[in-house]
Amino acid sequence: MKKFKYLALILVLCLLLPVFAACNKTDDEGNAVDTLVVYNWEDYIDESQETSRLEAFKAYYKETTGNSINIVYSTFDTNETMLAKVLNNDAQSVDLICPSDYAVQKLMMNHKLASITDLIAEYNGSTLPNGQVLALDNLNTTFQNTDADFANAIRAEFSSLNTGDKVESMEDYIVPYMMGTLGILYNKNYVSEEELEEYGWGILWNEGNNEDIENKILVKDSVRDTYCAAVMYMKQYDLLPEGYESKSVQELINCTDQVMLDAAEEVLTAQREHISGYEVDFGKDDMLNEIVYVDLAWSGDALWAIEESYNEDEDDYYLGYYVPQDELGRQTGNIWFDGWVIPETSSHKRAALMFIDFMNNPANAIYNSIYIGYTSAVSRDRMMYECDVDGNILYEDGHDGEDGYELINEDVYEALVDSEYALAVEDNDGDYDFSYFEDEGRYPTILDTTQLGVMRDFGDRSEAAIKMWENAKTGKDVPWVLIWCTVAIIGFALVVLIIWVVKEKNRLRPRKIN
Amino acid sequence: MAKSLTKKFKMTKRVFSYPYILFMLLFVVVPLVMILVYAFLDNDHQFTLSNFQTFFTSRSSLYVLGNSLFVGVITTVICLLIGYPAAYFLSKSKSGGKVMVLLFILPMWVNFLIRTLATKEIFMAMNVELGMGTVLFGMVYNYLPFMILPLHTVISGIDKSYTEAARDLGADDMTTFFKVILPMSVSGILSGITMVFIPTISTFAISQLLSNGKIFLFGDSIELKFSQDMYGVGSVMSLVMLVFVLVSSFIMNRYNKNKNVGRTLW
Repeated sequence: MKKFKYLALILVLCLLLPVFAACNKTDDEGNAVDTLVVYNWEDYIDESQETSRLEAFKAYYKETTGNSINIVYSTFDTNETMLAKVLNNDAQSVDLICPSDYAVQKLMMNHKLASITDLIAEYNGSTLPNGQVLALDNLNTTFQNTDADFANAIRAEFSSLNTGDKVESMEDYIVPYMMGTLGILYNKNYVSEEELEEYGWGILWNEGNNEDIENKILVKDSVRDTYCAAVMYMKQYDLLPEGYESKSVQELINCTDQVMLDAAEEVLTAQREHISGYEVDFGKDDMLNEIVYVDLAWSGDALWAIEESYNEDEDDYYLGYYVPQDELGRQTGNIWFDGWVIPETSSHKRAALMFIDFMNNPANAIYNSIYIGYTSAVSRDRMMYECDVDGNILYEDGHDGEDGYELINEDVYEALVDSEYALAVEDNDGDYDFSYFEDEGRYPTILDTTQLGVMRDFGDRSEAAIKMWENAKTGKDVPWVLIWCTVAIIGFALVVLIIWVVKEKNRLRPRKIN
Repeated sequence: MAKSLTKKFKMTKRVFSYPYILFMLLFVVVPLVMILVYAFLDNDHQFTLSNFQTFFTSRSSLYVLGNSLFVGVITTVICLLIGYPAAYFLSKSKSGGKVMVLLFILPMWVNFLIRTLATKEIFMAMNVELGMGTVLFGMVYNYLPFMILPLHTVISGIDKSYTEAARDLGADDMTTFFKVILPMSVSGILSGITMVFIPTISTFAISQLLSNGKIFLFGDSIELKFSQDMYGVGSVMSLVMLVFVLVSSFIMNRYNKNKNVGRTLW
C-alpha cells in the first residue's frame, strides 16, 4: 500500500515537472523569457561572431520589451522539405518561416498562414509588457521597404490567389527578405565569356563540347530549378514542343503540360551524360576547390563563392556568375524571392513581427546580405539613403532632388566599409562608394516577365513533375555490367547448388541397423 | 480499489520486460502500422489504391528497384569473398586475431556518414571519377564488418576436435576446409548475407554522396518521395522493402533449421 502511494506521488511529480518548468521562465534579472521559433534556410542569416543578427535581435528585444528572448533556430535545405513538414502539421510550434514564392503560395492555399497585414494592424501601437508602445517602423505595411518594381512583380503574379473560399493577395502574408536569380557559376580559367554568350543555358549541357568541363558540371538536385534550366535551354535551342515557342518565360517555367514535362525529361536525361552530379549544398564548395567548373547556382550562393575565390597572386577572382541573356541583352530565366511568413499556429506572433521588423531595417538587412551573399529585398534607395515611410529619399536641409545632397544611410555605409565593400569616405576623396549596389549579378536590372519569370506552385501537377524528375535522374542507360555480373553470380550459385545436391544423392549412406 | 491493484501488481521477472515491450510497441510496431496505413491514403487522407498503381506502373521506380537489387547482390558477393577468408584467418590466428578483429570493428565506431564523406574526399583527391565503382566500394567498405563479424563468431566457435578428427582420418587441408569447416559455417554465411544484403538495397546516403546523386537507388527514391510530401507512394515502397526483408529472413531461417546449427550472433 505504502509503496503504491510513493509510486503515485513520484508519477504525479514527474507529470507536473514541465508545468513547473514553464512557470519558471525568467532570466537572471527576473524578467520573463519569451520564445521565438524560427525555421529558415540553411546559411540564410548573419550568424558571425561579431555581427550576428540573432544576437543583435535578442539585445533589441530586451531593450524594447524588457523581456529576454530565447530564439530556437532550425533550418531546411529545400522548399519541399519544409512544405512536407508544415503541411503535415509537424511544425506547429514554428513562429516564422522563410519560404520561396511558390512555397508561400502553397502554404496560403492550404490556409497555413496568418495575415501579416492583420497582425500589423493588431500589434502596431500596442502596449508592451514594460509599458512602452510597440512601433514597427520598418513594417507599416508588408512591402514598406521593398522596391516598387519588385513589389509590382510580386503583385502581378500573386495578388489574386483563389484560396478556396476567397481571393487573397500574397502581399498580406509575406514580407520579402531576399531575392535573386538562377544562373551559371563558372570557373573563368576553363569557361570563357564568349562561350557563355554563345551557348547560354547550353553550357549546362556542354553544348560547346568543351573538354575541360565535360563531367565537371553540377546542377541543382531540386526539381523546380532544374526544370527551369531545362525549359530555358529548350527555348534557346528551339527544342520546345510545337505550340509552346511563343510563350513567355513566365508561362514556360510554370507550365506542367505533359508534352512539356516529356520534353524536359528528354533533355534532362541527355544532360546526365555531361554532368558530374546533382547537389543542393556542396556546389559552392566544389566550385571553390575547383573540383567542378560549372554549377547551376542561385545568385547569392554564386556571389558568395566569387567573393571567396579571390586569388591574391593574380589579384583576380577565378569564379564568375552569368545569367544567360537573350538577343536583346536581357537576363533570362527565373527571378525568385524568399520572405518571412507567420504560420497560423504560431503562439508568439508579436515577437515574430518584431523579428521581421528588425530584419527589415536597412542597417540589419545589409549585414545579412553581406554575410550570406544574397540580395536583400530592401530597396536600394533605403539601403543607400535615409528615406521616409513611403520610400522617398530625404535630402539635407534646404535641398530637394539635387545630386549629392541625399542623406546617406550611415549605418549601412559603415557595414559596407567594415566588410571592405567600400572605402571609408576619408580614404575616397570625400565620396561615398556604393558600387556594391550596382553589381548586375546582385541586382538584376529588368523585371520583365517575358524574360525573367516567377515560379508559381505546380499544385496537383507536382507529382507529375516529380515523376519526370525521377525518370530523368534514373536515366535510360541499362546497367549491363551489373546485370551480367548478377546473372553470372546467380548462375555460379546454381551450379554449385546442383553439384552439391547431386553429390549428396549419390553419397553412400551408412546403413541403419534395425 | 487501490488495494486490489497493489495485490495484483507483483514484482515478478515479467515486470522487467515491460519497458522493452513498450519500447518495441512505440518504435517498431506503431511506425510499421503507420506505414501500412499511409500506403492506402492519398494526400487528403482518403482511402485509395492509387499509390500502388503509381509505384507499379512507373518505369523509373521498377528500374531503380532492379538497379538496387543488382547493387545489393554484387556488394554481398564481394563482401563474402573478402569477408570469409578474413574471418577464417582471424579465427585461426591466436594472439593477433583479437587485435585484427578490433581493427575491423574500429571503423564502425565512426559515424558512417563521416566515413563516407571521408571516402569521397579521398576519391576526389585521387581524381577518381565518381560513379558505380565508387558506390560499390563505399557499400563494401561500410558493410564488410557486418559480414566478417557473424562469420568470425561462427568459425571460431567450431570445436577444434572436428578438424583434428578429420586430420586423423587422413583429410588434407583442402578437404578439411570443404568437408568440415565450410559446412559448419553455413549459418554464419547466411546471417552475414542477410546483414549485408538488406541494408545495401535500402541505403541512400552512400550512393548519393559517392556518385553526386547520379546513381539513384531504391533508398534514394524512397527518401525523395518522403521529402516531396508523397508519403503514400513512399510508404508503398517501404512496404516493398519490408517484403524483401521478410522473404529473405524466412529463407535464411528455413536453411538454419535444416542445418540444426544455432546462430551464435544475430
